[in-house]
Amino acid sequence: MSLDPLDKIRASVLEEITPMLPPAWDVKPGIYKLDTLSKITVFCEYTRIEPLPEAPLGHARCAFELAVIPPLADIAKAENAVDEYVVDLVLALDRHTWISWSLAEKKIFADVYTGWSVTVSAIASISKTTP
Amino acid sequence: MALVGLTPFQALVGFSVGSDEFTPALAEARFQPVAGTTSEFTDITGVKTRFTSESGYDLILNYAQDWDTAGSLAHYLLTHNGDEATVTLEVPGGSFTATVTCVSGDIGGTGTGVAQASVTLPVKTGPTWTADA
Repeated sequence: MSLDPLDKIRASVLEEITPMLPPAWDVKPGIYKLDTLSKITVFCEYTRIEPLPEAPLGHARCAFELAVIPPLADIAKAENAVDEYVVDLVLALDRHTWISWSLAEKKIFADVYTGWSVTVSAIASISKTTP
Repeated sequence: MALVGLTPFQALVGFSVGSDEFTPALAEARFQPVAGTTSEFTDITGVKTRFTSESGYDLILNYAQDWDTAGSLAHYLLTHNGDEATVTLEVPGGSFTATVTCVSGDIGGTGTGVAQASVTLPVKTGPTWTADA
């Protein structure tokens, strides 16, 4: 198992997280877009890069905001559709060797859909892959 | 001079005593070295030479107490206080096995905090590395 260079890290995190989510859900990179949602979607937005104190030369901690959005206007239905699966996701991440989570918070996106914002961070090595 | 790559990992992967896995109970499982004895020799010109034996190890466990579950780590250590046990610590790439002497941990705790315990088990032999197949 090797760590990913920073430019591949988002794809690797999505690859690791997808099996932890129900197969019917969509997983997409980038910031959330609400206009074309047809099924429950998890958006993975790359938000922060911090140094890694335990191995500072050549490694970093990359943080991602996962936006879990069920396209259901009724709040109770939205909560029933996603709440337990978000718990499954964070508990699965507990055992992961290079991805950790720090917070999962209920959030209302664009005043329309009730979902979750999950903060995860991954250990990455800073070496760009040659194009 | 060859550059050796590095793959850091997030510490707790798996911990078992004998055939029981106790990973969910643990906040920390760590084999900590115990320095060997050192003797110094200073020759007539004042140059110091230090001789040291190999380090030994202690197994440090920080875990949550659970007295309700029959086979919990808390009960295990209480029942086997003073007995030897074989422990396995998993890391990415393989596992470490060692023989330790069990020591019973804290019982009870403070106010509204989660009851936890901290023990240091002396390692009799090991840890021995076995790489994953």
